[in-house]
Amino acid sequence: MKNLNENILAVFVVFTMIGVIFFSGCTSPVKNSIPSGVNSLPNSSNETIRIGAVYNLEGSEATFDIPSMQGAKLAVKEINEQGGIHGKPLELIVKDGKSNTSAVIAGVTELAESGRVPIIIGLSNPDQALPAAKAAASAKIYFVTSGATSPRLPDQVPEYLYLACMGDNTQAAVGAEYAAGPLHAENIYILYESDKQYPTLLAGYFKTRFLDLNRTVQKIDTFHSTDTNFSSQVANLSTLSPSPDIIFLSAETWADAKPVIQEIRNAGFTMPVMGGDGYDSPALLTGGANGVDNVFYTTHTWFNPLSTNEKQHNFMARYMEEYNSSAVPFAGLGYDTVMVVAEAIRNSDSPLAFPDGMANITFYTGVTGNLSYSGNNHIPVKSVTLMMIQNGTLVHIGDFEPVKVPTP
Amino acid sequence: MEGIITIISQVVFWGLYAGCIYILLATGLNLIFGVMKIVNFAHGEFLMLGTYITFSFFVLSGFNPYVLLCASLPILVVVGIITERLCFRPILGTGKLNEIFVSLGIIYVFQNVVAMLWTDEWKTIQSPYKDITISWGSVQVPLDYFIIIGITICILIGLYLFLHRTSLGRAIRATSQNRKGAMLMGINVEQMDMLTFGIGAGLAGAAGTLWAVSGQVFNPYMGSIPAIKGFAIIIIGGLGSIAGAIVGGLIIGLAENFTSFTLGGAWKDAVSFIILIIVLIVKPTGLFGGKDE
Repeated sequence: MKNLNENILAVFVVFTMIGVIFFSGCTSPVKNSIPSGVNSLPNSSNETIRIGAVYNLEGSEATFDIPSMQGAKLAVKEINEQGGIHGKPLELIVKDGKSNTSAVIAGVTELAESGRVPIIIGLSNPDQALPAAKAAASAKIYFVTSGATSPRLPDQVPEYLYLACMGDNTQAAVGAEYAAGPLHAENIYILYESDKQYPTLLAGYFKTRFLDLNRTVQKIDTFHSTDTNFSSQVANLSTLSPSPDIIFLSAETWADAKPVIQEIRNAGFTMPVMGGDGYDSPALLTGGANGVDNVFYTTHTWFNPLSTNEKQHNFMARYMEEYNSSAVPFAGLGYDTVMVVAEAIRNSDSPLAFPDGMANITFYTGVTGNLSYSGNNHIPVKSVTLMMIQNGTLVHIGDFEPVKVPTP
Repeated sequence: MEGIITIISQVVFWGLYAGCIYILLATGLNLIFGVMKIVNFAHGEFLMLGTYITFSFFVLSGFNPYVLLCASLPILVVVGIITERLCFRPILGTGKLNEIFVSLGIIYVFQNVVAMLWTDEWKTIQSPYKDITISWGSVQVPLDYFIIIGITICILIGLYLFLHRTSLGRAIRATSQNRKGAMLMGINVEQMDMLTFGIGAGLAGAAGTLWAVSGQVFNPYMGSIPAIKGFAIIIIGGLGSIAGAIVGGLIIGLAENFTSFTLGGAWKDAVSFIILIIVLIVKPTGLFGGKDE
């Protein structure tokens, strides 16, 4: 009897295992048959509309991406408070890129393979946005970068990549026109961080526009993000005769630019230094503004605490309430990106028609300014904010649109 | 033509100044290697400590930063002696791998202690003579560079006199030439190790002061690249050769500035190692190295 029971038990176990293997084998194709990306969400009744987000929440890029992510989350919260999109709640699924391109791609791949998100937003660095958008595009998912400003990106990932921020050619043109105009610069020394894509492109666009204005580029010099002294760059600067009227210092981040400016100032050069939106970070004036006066930079917006702009004022107040810190431009970019994506979904019948929805955004008032995606443009038309560091404080010079923008 | 000569002269002066800091760093490194035969990758951290000691005394006292060489040099001698006693003596002769890992460990300890005490923000001080330049024909050279070149020459002369005219110096040289022979002659070689390490660290500390005074920025992590270049210089000059360290330092300083001027600043680190490779191919013992090195 005992043997019989054991045999029955053994047969039961074997059948159970065969059953498990059989059903797992059956479920696998079913799971794989769920279409990924944009095809998985159209008009899904009852459910939440989900947007993926990849931001670097640690490492060197966190200075831009944490505020961007917080701004994006605030936008989602506000949309849901107002009833969601077409009555459906919006959810943001965030993956941490850890300032590491492999982790960024892994985050995008995970979101794409989940089959739950039709659109992914995020990132402020074009070196990361490009592979991230390519990974998303291979799963037919749209990628909207909130802060990667390379105007080449949409051509590098056709159809599937949008910018929710200005392009580097636009901000470089504004910088060059301001240098040649109000700053009366005739001669310039360009110094850029040559191991990064963003500062290299920015310096190139600045040079193109400055030469276009019949001014002189006296010397183009380079440094690396890992450099710990800049004496040879200062030596090169000292060989220029006459001394340049302005230095265009194109750096990935303010942390990279600040020591170079300090060393230039220590060598006795007092002319204006100009840079791009990489300078704009919450750490801009921390540690004192020692030796960094007379610095200009282009950026996305200026959140003036005394602003009379109601939209900006409300955003700053809610951001402060939510995160107990002041809003910075990259926070506004994250916020506007979600709002633009939501607007595009509203404009279209379904997330499947996302490009049509984007093309229909002909005028959107965001917290970082007005923008439009007229025609088939994947880069918004947007004004550029020019700031200055003077006596250890930030001064808003104004918002500008360039007369002429270099081609990407 | 005159313009080109002016620019070349300007670049030569900047190269000489950069070379002075490399010379002090590499001379200390070479002295330590010559006597103890140890590989100390943490040598750049002594330079970094020199910059912070100068910075701190400058902020506290407001003294002329050049005077603060009198503080950074002896303090770093003491730090060097302590480092040798605590970290290197116990593992001396146990293998190069141990020396390398100990020196890597020291790098992290020094960097973290400095970051804890002074934060990891870039720091800078300004020379009181920063606005003074001396005209040499059409060449404008900051006064600071003349002072730095002068101080380096004085330190090297002092080191030469110490090594050749004092009994301690002769004992160090004897230990460097033949450790066992020196022991047989009654020289306390462990004492010589300690003293040599202290002098080497002190020279790096002096280089740190000159680094800071010249207006260069510094943070707790700035020592690694100068240390690697220091090694490149002593290999170029010849291991254990003080003259080699001086010539190697000047070659690297000048080459860096000429390369930076012609190809851009991003190339200045690469050129040190291009020269190193060329020297190793043409004369593997270095410019001043003997057959046995």
